[in-house]
Amino acid sequence: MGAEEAWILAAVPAITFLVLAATGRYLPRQGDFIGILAAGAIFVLFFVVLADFLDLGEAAWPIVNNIAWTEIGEFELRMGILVDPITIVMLAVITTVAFMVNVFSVGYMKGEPRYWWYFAMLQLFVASMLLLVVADNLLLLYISWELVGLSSFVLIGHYWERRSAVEAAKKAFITTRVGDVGLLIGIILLWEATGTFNILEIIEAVEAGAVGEVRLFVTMMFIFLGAMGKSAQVPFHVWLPDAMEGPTPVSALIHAATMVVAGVYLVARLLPVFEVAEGALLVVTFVGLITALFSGVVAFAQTDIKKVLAYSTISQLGFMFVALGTGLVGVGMFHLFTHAFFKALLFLGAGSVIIGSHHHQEMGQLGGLWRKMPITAMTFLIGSLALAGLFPLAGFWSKDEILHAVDSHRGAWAYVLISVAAIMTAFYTTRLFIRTFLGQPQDAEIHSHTRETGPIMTLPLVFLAILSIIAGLVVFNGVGDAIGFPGGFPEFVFLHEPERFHVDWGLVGFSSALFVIGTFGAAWIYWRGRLDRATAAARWQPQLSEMVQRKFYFDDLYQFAIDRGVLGLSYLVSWFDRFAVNDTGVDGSANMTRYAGFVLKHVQTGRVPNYAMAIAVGVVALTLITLAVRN
Amino acid sequence: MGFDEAQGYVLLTTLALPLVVAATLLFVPGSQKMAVRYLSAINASLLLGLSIYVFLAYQAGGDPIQMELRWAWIENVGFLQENGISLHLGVDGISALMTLLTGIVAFAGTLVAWKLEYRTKDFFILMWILIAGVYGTFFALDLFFFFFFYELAVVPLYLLIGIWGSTRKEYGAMKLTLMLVGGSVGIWIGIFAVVHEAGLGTFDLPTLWAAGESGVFSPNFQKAIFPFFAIGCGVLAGLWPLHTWSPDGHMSAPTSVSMVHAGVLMKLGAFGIIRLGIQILPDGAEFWMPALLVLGTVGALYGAIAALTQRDFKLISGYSSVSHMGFVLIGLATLNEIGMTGAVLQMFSHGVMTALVFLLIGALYDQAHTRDLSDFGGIAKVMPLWVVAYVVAGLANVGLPGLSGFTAEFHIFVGAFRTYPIFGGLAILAAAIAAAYMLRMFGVVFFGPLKPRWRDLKDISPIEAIAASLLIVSMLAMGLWWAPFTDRLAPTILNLPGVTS
Amino acid sequence: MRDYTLFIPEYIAVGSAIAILAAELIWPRIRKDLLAYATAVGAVAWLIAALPYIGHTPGDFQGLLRTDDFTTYFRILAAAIVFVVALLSAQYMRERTSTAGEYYGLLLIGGIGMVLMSASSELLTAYISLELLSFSLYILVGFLKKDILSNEASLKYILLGAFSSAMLLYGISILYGLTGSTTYEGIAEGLAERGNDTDAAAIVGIMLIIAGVGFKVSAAPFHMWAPDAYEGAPLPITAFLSTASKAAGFALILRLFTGALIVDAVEWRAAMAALAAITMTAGNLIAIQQTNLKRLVAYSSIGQVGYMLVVIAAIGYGDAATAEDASAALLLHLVGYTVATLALFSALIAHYNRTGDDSIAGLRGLAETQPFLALVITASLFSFAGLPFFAGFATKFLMFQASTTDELLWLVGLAAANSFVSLYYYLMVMRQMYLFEPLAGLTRFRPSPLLGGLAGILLLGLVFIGVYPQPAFEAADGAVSALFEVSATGLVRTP
Repeated sequence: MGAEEAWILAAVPAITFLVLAATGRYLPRQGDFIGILAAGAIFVLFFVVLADFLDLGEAAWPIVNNIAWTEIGEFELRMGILVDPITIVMLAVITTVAFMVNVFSVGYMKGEPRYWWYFAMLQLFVASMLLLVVADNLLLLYISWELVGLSSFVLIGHYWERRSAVEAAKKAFITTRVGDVGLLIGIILLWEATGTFNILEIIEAVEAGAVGEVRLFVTMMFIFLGAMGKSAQVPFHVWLPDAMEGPTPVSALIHAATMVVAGVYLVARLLPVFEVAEGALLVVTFVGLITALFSGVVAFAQTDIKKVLAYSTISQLGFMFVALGTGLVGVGMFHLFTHAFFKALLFLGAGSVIIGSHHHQEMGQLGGLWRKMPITAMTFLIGSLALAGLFPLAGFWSKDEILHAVDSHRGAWAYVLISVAAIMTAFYTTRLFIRTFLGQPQDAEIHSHTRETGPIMTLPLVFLAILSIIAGLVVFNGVGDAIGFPGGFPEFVFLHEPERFHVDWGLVGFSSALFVIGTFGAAWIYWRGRLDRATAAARWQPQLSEMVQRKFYFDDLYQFAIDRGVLGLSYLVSWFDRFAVNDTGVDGSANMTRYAGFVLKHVQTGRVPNYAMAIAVGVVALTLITLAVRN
Repeated sequence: MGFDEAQGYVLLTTLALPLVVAATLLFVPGSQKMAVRYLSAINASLLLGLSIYVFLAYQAGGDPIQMELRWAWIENVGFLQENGISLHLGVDGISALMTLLTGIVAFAGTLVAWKLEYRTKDFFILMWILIAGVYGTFFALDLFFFFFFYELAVVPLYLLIGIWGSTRKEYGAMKLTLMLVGGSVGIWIGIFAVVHEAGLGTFDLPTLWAAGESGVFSPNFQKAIFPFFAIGCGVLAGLWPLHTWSPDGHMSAPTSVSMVHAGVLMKLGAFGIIRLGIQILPDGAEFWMPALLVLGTVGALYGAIAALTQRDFKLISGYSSVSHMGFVLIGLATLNEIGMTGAVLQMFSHGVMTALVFLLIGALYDQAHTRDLSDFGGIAKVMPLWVVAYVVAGLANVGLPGLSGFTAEFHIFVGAFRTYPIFGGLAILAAAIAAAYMLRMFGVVFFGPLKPRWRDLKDISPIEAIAASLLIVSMLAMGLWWAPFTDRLAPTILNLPGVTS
Repeated sequence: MRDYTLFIPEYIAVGSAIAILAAELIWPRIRKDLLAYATAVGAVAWLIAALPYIGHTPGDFQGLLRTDDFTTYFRILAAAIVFVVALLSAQYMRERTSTAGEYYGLLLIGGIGMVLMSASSELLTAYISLELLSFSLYILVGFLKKDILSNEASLKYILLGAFSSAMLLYGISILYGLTGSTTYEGIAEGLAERGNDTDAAAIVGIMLIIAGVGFKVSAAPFHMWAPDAYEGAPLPITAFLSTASKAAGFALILRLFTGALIVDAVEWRAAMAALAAITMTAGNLIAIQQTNLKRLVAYSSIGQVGYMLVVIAAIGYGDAATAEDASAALLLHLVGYTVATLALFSALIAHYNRTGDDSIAGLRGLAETQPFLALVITASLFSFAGLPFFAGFATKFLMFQASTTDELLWLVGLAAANSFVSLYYYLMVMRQMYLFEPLAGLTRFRPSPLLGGLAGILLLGLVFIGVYPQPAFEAADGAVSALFEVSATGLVRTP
């Protein structure tokens, strides 16, 4: 099997899903080992694909392989796969994290309800996610796009006995669905303009100028709506924090490493088209910046570990869009790549904390876990530093690249803002780590029961920690060449011409400065888990802190819009349907008919003279009618 | 006897079988419930087999109308001339697919009616007459018999709902029957006008189509008459604002009647619009389609929005049916091959999907004796299979890829964007709203903590499970690999007059 | 020349009528149902005697009466109706009267009147045969001497009948004055030659004639006697009224209008269309409000008359071919309508003999107590409403299609809409029978074998015509072509 058969990567978990869904509950250990085997298999198979891909060499890229699907007149559909560097990066991320999460889940989900079902759905998700990144046409992409949404919906709602979980799942599905409406419209508009769903052909046609400027811009905006929905960009971000209702490994896999970056992937995939669409990339940058800053701020006020991480994810996704907005696909994909590892690590670490502390995830109840859970704490620290951007961890390099790109392709304003966002990242990450692991235990009771988790959970942490340290190095040509890539990351993933990466020490210094400001700021406020300075800050600006606490009122706003707007309209329509259409229109006409009969009935008086009169009148009437309308 | 003629006898058998069974049942003593059930079950299975055969035996890319069979009935007397009225049967790609749908839904419906205890015999007699009417309408290539079977399919509903129904059954039954028959008045008038205008003294559809192509029907005539067909059939297709029989009718109807009715009968309407409207009066169709498009779009949005806040399972499905049939109308109104293919796919998709939904609602109602959403909660704990099946149906309803709903709606959207981008967008919006009301129902009813009063609900019975899985399989089939469907539809639809690519 | 062999079947009918009267005079205590069976036998003999006339060369009696296939068609119909009604009467009359000789005698005489109406080709003869039928009906309607309703009905019928006959006669005399002839041929020629200055006279004359015959077929607004008469009359006579007298009326109308008045179609067709519209609408709308079965049937039959009048209007509007086709379809529909009505009444009488209740609510739960009768009633009502498998669907469909002309599409549409309205009140009857449990104390029962068998046979006939109308349609076609051999369609005048 080679890169041309990359679809097998998706087929394996798909089949596993069917097996588990059908037989899982009857198997020993509810079949979790099957899930792990499958995940391991694709993890290995990925390297097979990669090897073959590299053997074929740049000349052969991108590798395509598709078959005829249906044909209605000249409306033809071909389904198939497209493997190019972007795909490879995605495959690497998905297979790795998926494997780790499957293993971790064995420990995390131990004794949880519907264990087998959980693993089955995990496989379904992996299958759809892999299909999404290998799809060579937008229709297939949309199909898998919806399927990942579905599995995310099911997994978020895994504990469906909990109302909050159900609501969260619903919110996630519907919010993303709103974006998907845009995506579908965009896809169809592109088809209208180019007559094909095939991504490469579309790019070709658009670059050949097949689509008018304005129209293309509108189309790409629709498509970007889809990306915003899936990647939780403002104002579609509301579903992601709630999605933390799902099991933590799911959050790590779906809501940190893979599914939420599908939007980024989509934009990266269609970046050439975005480039042609005048101004589209500027919008992308804007949305990314706003999201990065906004969720960075909100993350300050979160007290739930997973919520902090959720907002941090949103913020980082913003970074990726900012990067793509500069038109440098390599930079965006690079941050996606590194982020996947340390964010997955952080989530799994959070999961380990939750298990270790017997299901507590409020920072207010934790603290001082450093001694209790050394491995978790250590790995978590690595993840945090990588996220905060400590030289030379993975996060540092990708953030560095982004700063560089913004500096060179966007104005100073963007540069300033993104730098601020970087400081925030460092800040809330530090706050999170300190309040969870350092200082005095906030709740001695919980603290006393807390234990380090078993190897089945800590091993994935360690593995991911290592990746979080070294993954960034692939940016160097040396490293790239060593593994067999044509140079470093930016020479592997690029749009127009490969760029050779070289360290800009000035920039290194600058971003390290950002890191230091953020970290030390947070440390100064929260050192040893003290809160007085923080509360002081809150008291200093009550309105502001209130606003941050309430996440800038987005949820309240939407709730209001739904209750008053949508549901109100629905009540109105139902009322209209009952009283206007049915009771008045339908029953009304029926009653009119009946009434007419009632009136006519009374012509029949039963008295002979009236009858005779009727006859006479009839004759006269007929005569008059004839005279009126003869011939 | 040539092969194609032999095929024709397959159609004849499919059409005659239910009637024969109904006639036989007349003489079975009403006390022999089991005998009645087994006879019906056997009949249903045979019909399913025959329907599948008809669908498979229809040669994709062969001549548009296949399996033709013609028996002269009345001719050369009075105003009737050669082939004046003949029992002329045949299927094209569209009716082949509809035949398959009928077989599937009828089979499922029969299985569901298994546990019916009250006047079982009468129920099945009426049911089989209805089914025969449905098959007949799909097969008929003669206006007289088209109308004959159309009425035959509609009228039994009055008794089926009136006797075996539940909520406000008399009102629902009377309203439904009268609205549908009222619609058929329009069809009737259209037939009079068309046959008179053609002046050929025949009701034979192919002859009339040919006459139409040779320009017998002036554009003005077509514009004047098309609305009769469109509205007449539209009532049965749930055309807004003539849809109100659907929510009430479904609410009153017993389970298997709802299944067959929403599953198949509503499709007769859309089918009629194609057969009579588009095929006889292409110019009229072209002229009026924008209006139909608007009504279809309004219906699609209106039904979806109204469904958002319904509190009765069946009302939700009733309104969502209005919404989905709105999609069908949108598809037809595009008058291009993709959109119309989508419309017919949607007819099938909505048929199986709705049938499944009503099946499940019935299975729940029989135990719970309430359909009020707010009474329920967390029943996934006690009825897992039921919930899974319902979720599948719901996701098909929402248009989730991998299930028939997406395949159909996707084609409709593409077709709509071809001709009327704005309406295409609105249609997609309606599909998105569907997600809202479906998930709302899932959340309230299936999930959350289990209400204690439902602790001893039973999951669906094996018989119902068989029926349900048949429906689910057909949804998946169309959702995953739709070539077999489109291959049969596309040539037929391309062959329709006035259909652009 | 006088060819007395033309009316042998009628001689038989008269003979058996006299025989029956004599029989009761001789044996006053004779069981009354025996008389009914005797009448039936007589009717059968009459029918058999009529068969040889099928396809027989048309005979003409002094230019007053024509015996052709058209006549024969109605002969057979009349004999059949009399046969059925006699059998329907057997039990019903035995339980209600001491003397039945006149009843059965008049039944036969009325039948003969019907035949003569279909045969007459001259206005005065037509008038006399019409009165022959009417007078027998006046008596029959009031035959239940002790029943106040029956007497009232009879009295109203007589008074109004006289009134309308006067109109008819007045119309005849005007036409005579206009054309100098009372034979249809003569009138046709006269009308064809008349100058345009005589339009008014022609119109008035024709309108008066329409009123006269309209009264006979109970077309609105000449219908008002019908509900009262139907309600008061003995049930079998109600059946006879709604079949024989309507069939006879249309026989007369067809011969008169195609043979003579078609020449002046322009002067009456609009009126005829209006009459049809008013009749069907009024009939169906008022029927919705009825609670008594007989009155319901009365109004529904008025609605049916409205449909049939569409054909007459079409004769006025269409060309010769249309006229002929429409008439053929009308004859077919008449048969379907007759069978349906007789089937309905055989079931109703069976039910009435048991319960003595003729309100709609009285049918409550019939599907439980007597499923077969319920089925028959359903079938015949559905036939009226024009639903598949029953005569009404095919015959009405063909009739409307045949009478569709460019000018009359609106009327046909109205007719279709009306038959939809009618479905409502037919369903209300169904509702009583099928949706409700029977009243307390009503248990399962079986109808008398005679009525049951009769109902069964009529039901079969209903289904047969509905499923295979070809033979009946061909017969009707033959009858009509005989009619149009002497039609005046050649002379149509255009002012």
